[in-house]
Amino acid sequence: MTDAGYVIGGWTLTGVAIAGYVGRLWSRSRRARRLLPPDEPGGGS
Amino acid sequence: MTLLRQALLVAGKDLRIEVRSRVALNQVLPFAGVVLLLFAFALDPDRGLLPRVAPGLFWVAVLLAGLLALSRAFAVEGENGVRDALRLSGLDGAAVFCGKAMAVAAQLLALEVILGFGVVVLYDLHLHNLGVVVAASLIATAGLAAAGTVYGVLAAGLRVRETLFPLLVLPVVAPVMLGATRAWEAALSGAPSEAWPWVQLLVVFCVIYVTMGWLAFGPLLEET
Amino acid sequence: MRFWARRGTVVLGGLTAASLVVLVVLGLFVSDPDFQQGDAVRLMYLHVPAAWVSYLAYGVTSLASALYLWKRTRAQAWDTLAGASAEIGVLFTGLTLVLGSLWGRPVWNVWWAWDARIVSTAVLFFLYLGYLALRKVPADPAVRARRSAIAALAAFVDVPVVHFSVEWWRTLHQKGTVFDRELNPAIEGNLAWALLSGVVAFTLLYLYLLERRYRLAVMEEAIEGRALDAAIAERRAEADVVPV
Repeated sequence: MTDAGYVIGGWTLTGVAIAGYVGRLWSRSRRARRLLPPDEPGGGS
Repeated sequence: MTLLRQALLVAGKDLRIEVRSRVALNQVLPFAGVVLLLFAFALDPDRGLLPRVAPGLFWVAVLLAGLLALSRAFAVEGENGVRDALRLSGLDGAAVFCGKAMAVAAQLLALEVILGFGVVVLYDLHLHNLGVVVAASLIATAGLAAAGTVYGVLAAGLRVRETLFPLLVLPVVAPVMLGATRAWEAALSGAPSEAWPWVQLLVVFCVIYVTMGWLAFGPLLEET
Repeated sequence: MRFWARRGTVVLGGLTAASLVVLVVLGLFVSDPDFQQGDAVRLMYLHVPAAWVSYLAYGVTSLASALYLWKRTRAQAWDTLAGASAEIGVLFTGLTLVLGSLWGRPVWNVWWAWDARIVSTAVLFFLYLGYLALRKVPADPAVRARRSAIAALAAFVDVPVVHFSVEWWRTLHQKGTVFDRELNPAIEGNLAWALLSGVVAFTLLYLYLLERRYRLAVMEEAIEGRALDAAIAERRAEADVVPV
């Protein structure tokens, strides 16, 4: 594998990992906000 | 009652339980023996490798056996409401910590003597500078017992204890593995002065985790 | 109050996204390849920032745990923060290890090396995993908080010991001098800017993720509390119905 392969692999992996984690946070937050009435603490975007 | 007396009381209780149930003798020791055997299966004994890696294999076997012994030390507390009895007894948390750690250390040391024979016999290891070897082993064992007791009480009473406890303890005791193995290697290869920095490392580790246990054990024991 | 909190998150999110774009542009396109390492050096622009965030997150977890344990500053919020930071920390520690491996292969032809920094990071990874596993065990929040805080501090005191012990070990064997030299190259020119942009971007990313994860934890704790209250109320209602 050329150097470029490692670089692209590494950057892509990083992007996927971060995007995946952000996605997980968003979906869990959405679900949590649905289960809480609007006046509960901790809400917010 | 002085702290020392309290600690000895707790240690005595644990050791007496062991003497009567003989779990360490009948189960932990054979386990360690089997581990030593399995290493020989995994690492071809005919290639002269075993004597060179014997210190490392010895300490891995001790560590694995130690996990069992520590797990057992807290399992006995789970029965018959012993935990509540300990809490109500008015014994100082630090003393209970010392007592439990001392009992585990004693069992480990006995185990190490026997395993030491095993390693000499099975792996054709030649012993030199026994003083350094023994000193390093004592301190390493104390560190293992202390750190293990701290994490043992953290994981005690949890349903996932069997899998969680090893995961918690093993990364933490990496320096002990390193220090003890290197100290043994230095002593056994005829350069005992090289063991000195490793012994220092083992002492530092031991002090840190004895302190940690001293401070944290009481509060940790309090919770349900 | 909540409006400003929302505003703050959006601003932070925007800044983070912008800085990440800058990083991609500088790191992948604008900056020159390294004289010795070629294009592989571009992995350093991710690896070093990820390592920095690992240790930052770990520091935050440890500090928050200490603040929780100290009576004068005890508050559930510290425990929540410690847990949130640890989760992000484990993500970045894992990334650090993988990126380090991917960087090491083209440059030094090894997937792994037994030097102090790498090994300490690997140990840190497992310490995080254990801590997170401990946090998942169901318990009364105060009990879980104290148990987790002590575990975090017990791990905290271990990392320097691990680091120094491995360092002694490796220097005694006098290996890795090439490795050490190249891990701290004198970085100049636009490579330095790319690296800096990486550190800035990842720090902002950490703060953003921490904020989101913290809010999520607060919400989930509230849900747990309400579920518990509801269950207790139901049991009480049952008890009232039964005639004496």
